Amino acid sequence: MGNIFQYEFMRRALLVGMLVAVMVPCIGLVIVLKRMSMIGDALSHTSLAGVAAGLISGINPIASAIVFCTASALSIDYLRRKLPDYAEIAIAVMMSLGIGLAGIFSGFVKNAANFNTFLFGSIVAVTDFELILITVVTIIVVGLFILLYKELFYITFDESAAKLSGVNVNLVNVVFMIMTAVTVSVAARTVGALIVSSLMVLPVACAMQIAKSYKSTLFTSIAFALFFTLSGLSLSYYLSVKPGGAIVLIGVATFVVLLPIKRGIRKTVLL
Amino acid sequence: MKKIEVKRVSYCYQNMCVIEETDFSVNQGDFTAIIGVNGSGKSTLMRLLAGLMQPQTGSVTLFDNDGQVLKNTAKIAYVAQNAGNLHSSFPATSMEIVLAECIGEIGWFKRPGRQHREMAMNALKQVGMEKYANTQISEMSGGQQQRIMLAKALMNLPELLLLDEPTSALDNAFSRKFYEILKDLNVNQGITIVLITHDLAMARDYVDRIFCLEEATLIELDKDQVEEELRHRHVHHHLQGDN
Repeated sequence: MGNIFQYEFMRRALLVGMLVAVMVPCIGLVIVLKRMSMIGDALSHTSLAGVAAGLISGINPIASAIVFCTASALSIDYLRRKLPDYAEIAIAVMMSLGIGLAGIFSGFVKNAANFNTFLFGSIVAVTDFELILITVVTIIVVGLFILLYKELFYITFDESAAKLSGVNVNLVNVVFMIMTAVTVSVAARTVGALIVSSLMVLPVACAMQIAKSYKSTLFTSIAFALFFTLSGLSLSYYLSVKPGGAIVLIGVATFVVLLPIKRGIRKTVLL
Repeated sequence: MKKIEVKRVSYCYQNMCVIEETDFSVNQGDFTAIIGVNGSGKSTLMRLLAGLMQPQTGSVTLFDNDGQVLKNTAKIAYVAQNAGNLHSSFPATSMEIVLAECIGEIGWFKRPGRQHREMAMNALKQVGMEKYANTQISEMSGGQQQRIMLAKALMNLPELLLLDEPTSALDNAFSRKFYEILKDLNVNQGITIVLITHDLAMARDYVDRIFCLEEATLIELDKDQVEEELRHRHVHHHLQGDN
């Protein structure tokens, strides 16, 4: 087997993987700290419904996934505000809706193989259009995240205090939910709908074991996501396994290794 | 000069009114404590004062130090009970958390500058936590976390400080230290303070006025009533101990 960089599709896969690895932890950090980790699952299942709807109607499946995901994300935000003590119910309800619609719509998709690529991703078969779309979405999402950095930090830490300090909490939350929906839709195409929420949570979970501040947690999360993606792609190339699965399993293994390290540090501090 | 004026305010949850037709005012420079049993509506009252909830009837008016109606919410600092995402291992340093408070002053899309960092460090110094500026808040004790939340509240040089059970996680010695910091802020910086507490003895030693929220009504206690209540609690405590 030759060098990983000798093939155009692998160079493209590595580029797409890096873009997703920078974008997803930005969203994941806020999601994890808001204790809404399940939102990635809910939206990725909704994105599958969007993909199926797109394949049935002849619309670009990523575009229809973005529409479905955005509607779902805004509904979760609305329900979360209406039922503040039961935010996880809002997520579970929308996840059920997404699974239900995806199940029914998938029965009408003529090319089942095409639909299946969205389940576990097709990072090594990204088209020119998708590469441009992922690049544009990454620039917009990361740009908005940088612009709203302090607002998102404050809302994540203490929503009431942020409101009292003059932050337009509802507006920032709506913008963030749209960012999340778009990120999930695009990442689902590449790493797979069933894996995207793992890529949202695992790098952040690993970073929280070693980082000392919010900013360093963000950068460490991105570093971990890059490591998982690049090593997962390499593993998939040399061992001929699915890239999405390899990426996530490396993430889980890293987390398992890091967990006792943090416990050890805490124990030492307490002693 | 009045700082807070509450007029005929009511607030009810379903069939239970926790505040009913209540009048109450706080003067500029007052150090005021509100006591009451659990579930009596103290936190609701505090959220009404902070403007985080609106009264169902009546009005809450806050005034600035010139006697004008206060519109700049940055001049009000509110520290909620169990404020912030501290129950989890929230990965943020004290400096990051205190700096968050300058968001109203900086505005959209801008970053805190050197002067904001200096203001944050000053706020940390005021509560004796400057050494912990770069320490992750989740690694601190409950008392240290509450001092960080107080530093965050002081970041914008507030005129009015609203604190919901700020010493609930502290033992007696740290509680006293915390009250001394508050008294210093009140006396030397003229900050009007309203706090909720269960610690009546500490309130007696440090605050100017004590109100009791009972049966949806706020009653000011005079010195004799405070001493009587303390004696009653002391006896009750001993009787419980004997049993």
